[in-house]
Amino acid sequence: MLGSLAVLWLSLAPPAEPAPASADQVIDIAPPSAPMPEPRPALRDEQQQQELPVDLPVDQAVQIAPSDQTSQSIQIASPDRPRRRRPVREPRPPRDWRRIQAKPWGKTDEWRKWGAPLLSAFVPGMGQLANGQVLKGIGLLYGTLAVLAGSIALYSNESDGTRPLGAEYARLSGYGLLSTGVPLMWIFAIVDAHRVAHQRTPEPKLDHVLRLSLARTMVVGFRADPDRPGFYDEWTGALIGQVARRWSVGLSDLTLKPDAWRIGVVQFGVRVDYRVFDRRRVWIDVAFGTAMQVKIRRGERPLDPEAPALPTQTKFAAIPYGQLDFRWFVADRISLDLVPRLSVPLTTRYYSADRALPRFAPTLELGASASVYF
Amino acid sequence: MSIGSHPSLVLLAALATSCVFGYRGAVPFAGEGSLAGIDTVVIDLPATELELIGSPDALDVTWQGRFVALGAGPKGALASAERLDLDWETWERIGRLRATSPVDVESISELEQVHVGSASTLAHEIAGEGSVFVSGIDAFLAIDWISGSVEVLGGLEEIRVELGSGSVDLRTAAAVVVNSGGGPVDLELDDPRSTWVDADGPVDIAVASDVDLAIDIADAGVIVVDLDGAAHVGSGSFRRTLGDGSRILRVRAGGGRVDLRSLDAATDSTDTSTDTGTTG
Repeated sequence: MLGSLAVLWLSLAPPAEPAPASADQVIDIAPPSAPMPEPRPALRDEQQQQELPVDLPVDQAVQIAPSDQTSQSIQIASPDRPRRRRPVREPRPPRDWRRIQAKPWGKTDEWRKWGAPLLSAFVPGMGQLANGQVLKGIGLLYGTLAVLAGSIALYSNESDGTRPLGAEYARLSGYGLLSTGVPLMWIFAIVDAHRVAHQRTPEPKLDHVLRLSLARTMVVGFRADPDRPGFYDEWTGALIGQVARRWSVGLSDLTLKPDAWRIGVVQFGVRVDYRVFDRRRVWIDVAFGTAMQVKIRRGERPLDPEAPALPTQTKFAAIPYGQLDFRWFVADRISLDLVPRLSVPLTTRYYSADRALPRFAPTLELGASASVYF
Repeated sequence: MSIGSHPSLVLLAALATSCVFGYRGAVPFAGEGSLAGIDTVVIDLPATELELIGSPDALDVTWQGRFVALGAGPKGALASAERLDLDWETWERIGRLRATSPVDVESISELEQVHVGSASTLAHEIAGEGSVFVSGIDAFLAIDWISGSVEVLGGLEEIRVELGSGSVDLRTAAAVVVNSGGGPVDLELDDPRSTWVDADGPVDIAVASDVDLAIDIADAGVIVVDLDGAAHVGSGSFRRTLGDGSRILRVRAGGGRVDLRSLDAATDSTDTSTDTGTTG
């Protein structure tokens, strides 16, 4: 789904513009080989039919007095010399683009602008191969497949309670990292294929108005079963508006955690965000927010089939937190983010798969997200 | 060194600090309820290690075990665990034992283990997850288990096991019906009068007698039959009727290996008639 969203976003992106030339891409044009003859001052008659060459001192005032007019003082300026023109700085195509043009089938490149990201949307790395980036394409293809296979293997290799606790922590941490890495690598493959096909260097949108983020946060920690650690994770969305330079505020931590059995959790939150660093493609934000949860447990049925079910129970939870956002822009309006977060829930905090952590338990979470800027 | 040039360091640092701080608190519990007028005992528990022991002269159902809950501090963890309990509820001839927990404690707690004593002559229906061991229940026994291990000793009437995934180990004289989503199934049948196994894994069946068996094995990998009245090695399926074929033994193994053999003197050491175990 992330891949489709990225392709959709890229298809709506503005048309490509030539990449600006940089200092190391200047081509020096050699000066003319033969010097131009120096022109001399000349006088023409009134009918402009005859031209008389004269020798006049240059840069000095001379008196010119036609027979029927008062004499005038004029300055004879030095004739125009052929100035040495400054070297013309023509933009030099980026290295990726030169590689594309080197391909025998790369002369007509319009199709790549939409074809390359589309190919990477179906198979990560294919867009890079279409762009002529063989090593990057193969790396992304096999890298994504390896990460996917690794996450599946780690997920399915459940512990029966006899595995050493450290190994189980490593398994769950690895699963969390790899399963989060798959969509991030996929998005990168799509956006990078688009960027190269359009010869673009990402210029993050400092003046964006709205940011949409899809994030996954996770932590591996203890649970009531002493033989097995718990994997606590959640997928959330956020709509953050930039209200002033560097300042953003908006809705965050949006998610639903349905449970067909008894429990459902509705989660939402607010977050204030300040951008403390923005150089080139890297931003760092400091954010504070509160996630709020409403947990709903449907009432159980008593043993008597004629008796009414017990009333539904609801519980409100609040989880204040602070976090850092390390943003790396892969396109003008798309960034991949690493988000460590510290939270202290004021009540029991619920994660996916009906897992929970107790109130007041300090929790350091690792999050990753993809953000789109409007 | 700029941050942007070393994103892997940021990743490792963040991962190294991904953790949660807290405590576990364990609280024992015990209780009992009357079995007067009860024909069927229902045990409906969350994931746990359950032991059910039947006794022919039991008048009450008894339970004891331990709850574990999480907390930010030791006192908070204990306070949460103390809010958990088991509840005995009756309606007409049915009694049900189930866990009760406040909504804010349910997901941070665990029923670590529970030992239930009951009457061997009553029907029992058990639902849950984890591991379950049953001994001394002669009457009807049904186990609906999400995953884990199921082990039953004894039984005279009928045993039905529905298991999502895990292992099944029955030593009984009762009629047997086993549906297992995955994992090994081991049966030792003192009186194989009616045996139905639908598994997705290896099946090992040892019978005390092969008289009048109607053997129907299919959907299997390797099949090895080593009975007094029949011997066979093959794969896929095997069907054979011994005697008048009045005692059905039907196995579907989902491609797993099937071994059907006789209980010899060396392995027939379990008294499956009325193993009441201990109720302490």
